[in-house]
Amino acid sequence: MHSRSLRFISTLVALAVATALLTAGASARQRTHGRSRATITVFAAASLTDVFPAIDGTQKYSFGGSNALATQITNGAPADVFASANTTIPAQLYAKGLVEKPVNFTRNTLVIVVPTANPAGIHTVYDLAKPGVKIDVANSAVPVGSYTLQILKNMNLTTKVTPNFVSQETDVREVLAKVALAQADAGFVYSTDAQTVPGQVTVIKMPAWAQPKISYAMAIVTKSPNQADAQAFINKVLSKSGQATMLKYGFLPLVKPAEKPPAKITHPVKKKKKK
Amino acid sequence: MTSQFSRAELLSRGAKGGVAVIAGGSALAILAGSARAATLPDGDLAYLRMLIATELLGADFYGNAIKAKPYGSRGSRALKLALFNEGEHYTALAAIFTGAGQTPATADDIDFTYPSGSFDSTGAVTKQAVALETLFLGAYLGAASGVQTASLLEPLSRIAASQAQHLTVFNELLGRPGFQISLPEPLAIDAASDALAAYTG
Repeated sequence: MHSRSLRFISTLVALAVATALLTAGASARQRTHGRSRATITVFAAASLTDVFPAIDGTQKYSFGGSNALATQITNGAPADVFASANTTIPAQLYAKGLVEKPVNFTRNTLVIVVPTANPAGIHTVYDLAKPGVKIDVANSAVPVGSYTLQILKNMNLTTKVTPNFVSQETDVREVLAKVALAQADAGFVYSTDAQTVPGQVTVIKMPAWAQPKISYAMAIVTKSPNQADAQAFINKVLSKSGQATMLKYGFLPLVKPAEKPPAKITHPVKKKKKK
Repeated sequence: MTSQFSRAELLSRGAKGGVAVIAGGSALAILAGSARAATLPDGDLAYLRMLIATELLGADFYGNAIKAKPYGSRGSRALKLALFNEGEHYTALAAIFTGAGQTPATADDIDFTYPSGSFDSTGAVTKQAVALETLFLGAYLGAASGVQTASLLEPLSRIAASQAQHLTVFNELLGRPGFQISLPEPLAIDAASDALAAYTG
């Protein structure tokens, strides 16, 4: 009886060990089309927090301000792919040989969010110039912070609005959280982030004429030991289904769909002289 | 078309998104005058940026209206002329903007939307044209009274006059007196921007 119990326990232990080993193996490596695929580490802009796992839920993600992630890569952090909310940071890393050539993969727009109660009565961007309005932004080193300053400059509102900045965050999700918690009267975020907290904030669109061009770029980290798998991830994001998922989460298509070529504009009254 | 425009040069540059686009310098920029090479203050650039969007809106609207074919010959000709004018306005503004080291928006950058039924009938198209031309005229008058750079006044005033002509024609097509107001109201940039926002997605 005693020996049978021991056998039973040892069998259970063996099964548990085998299961643990199998699980660990499966999480570290996936078998795709007969080839063993590593789980890669993707450093991605905070605004991609929801959409990237929806495109590929099997990878390891680290989300944050693009500038902070770039600093980590520069310092040797073990990332395989870097996805930034702008094109300049990946271009800078590429120039330093830290990443392969970046590719653009989506676009976005900037909006204002205000708490649902809207205590400061903000209805347009021009209301942000009112005295006493508490505005939360990302710091200028973060892409969304840089775009915020750009759009204010485009509208000639810099000197009127920036005195109302009360806090500068390290990424866009922190701005969103503070506004959702009504710790600020307004904040600048991407339209895609605003959609992630329905009912907690009210979105105020920024004028299309003042919008900076917000393009996202991604690249394989040069030192990545998983180059092929990193490329496969990028391909997945750029694929038809990957792009469809980006659209589903509110991102803009990589390139605006081409319309029919316009007819040549000619003066409709003046006619050409006959030869 | 004014004598200072070289239409052949304008059109030889081709068209994009319904609007002729000049990428670099051009003799067309006579209208732009000395403003082209000027370093413009942020406030003036903001006006130009917004006015460029109004021209893109105008070109988009008239392009759609022409396709809808709501009119007889007189109205159709008015739509085509208006489209042509908006293209030339755009080109002139874009030349100034480019000369100031900026990149003007193109039709690819902004998607426009219109109230439901805007292109369904002659009356709907004409009403929308009047609404838009009222906005455009007000925006130009507001800019003319708001810019700091003196050399911008001439191009802005001339384009405002062109927009007023459009407004007259479409008012008449709507059965109203062509000219009504002695002193049309300028629109401040925030009001013009808000009005413009109604047409952007």
